[in-house]
Amino acid sequence: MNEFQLKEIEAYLKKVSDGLYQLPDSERNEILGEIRNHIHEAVDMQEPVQAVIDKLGPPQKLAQSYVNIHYINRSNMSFSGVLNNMVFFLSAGLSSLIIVPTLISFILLFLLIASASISVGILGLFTDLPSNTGIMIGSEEPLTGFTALIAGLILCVIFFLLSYLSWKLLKIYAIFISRRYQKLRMGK
Amino acid sequence: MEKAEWLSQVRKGILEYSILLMIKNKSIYGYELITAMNRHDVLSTTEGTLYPLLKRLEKEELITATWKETTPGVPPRKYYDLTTEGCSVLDMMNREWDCLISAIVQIKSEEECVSDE
Repeated sequence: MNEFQLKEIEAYLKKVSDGLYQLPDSERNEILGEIRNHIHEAVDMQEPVQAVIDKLGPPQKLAQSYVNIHYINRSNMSFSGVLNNMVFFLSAGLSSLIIVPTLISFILLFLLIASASISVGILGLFTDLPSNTGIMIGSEEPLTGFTALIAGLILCVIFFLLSYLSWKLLKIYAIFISRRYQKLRMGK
Repeated sequence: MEKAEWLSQVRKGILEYSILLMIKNKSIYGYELITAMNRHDVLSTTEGTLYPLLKRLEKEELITATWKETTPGVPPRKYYDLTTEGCSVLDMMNREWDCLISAIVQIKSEEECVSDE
């Protein structure tokens, strides 16, 4: 078998693998191993690679047949299965209703404060700011010139980081929910 | 009704039966199984049907698989054997198959009698 043939085979297997992404790693590897062996056996019997691949059919379709079997066997319509589903969708639905909008408003709010801080800082370079702005660095005097700019920059960075943190939290939450959902579908 | 359409309907159930029969005879791997199957035109099937079907039989614990290294340079083969459950399901299928055949034979002979009259 030459390198070009091997590449062709692996490219096909990669597409099948992509279609099996929902399956646990061990199961996916087992399926790919069997198909890989099939192609090699056939090519050893002088069948052209492309003909063997054509007979296996479109990779997405082959993968889908495996995925269907996976879920048919795990269809969890018992009482506890239905209960598990209900608990998941109710809890995920309710928590998302609160957590997602809260995190999104945090992201936007912090971004707004960050841009306001930097704008005020730049403004302070040219004009005197109101006297109460000094409170931010514990001073009675109003901020002026470079002090204003630096204070504005620092505040901008802090609020930007807070906004970024909220974004991260939102991502972690989304990943957490989708993992739980996948586990539920796998019947674990 | 088209020949192909009728055959595909009939084959659906028979495919599982013939796979179990072949595995009962000896440990067999996918490529060998499909080659043997395709020797009989009437049973010939595609890889895209056969492999997922094997996976289903494995999930249903009618067959069990073992990986074996054979020829160097060729990825390991996945050999199938019947489980105890698979054996008893096959016994059931054998009995029902005989009943099915004799029922068909009987119906056909009755029909002949009618046409003889």
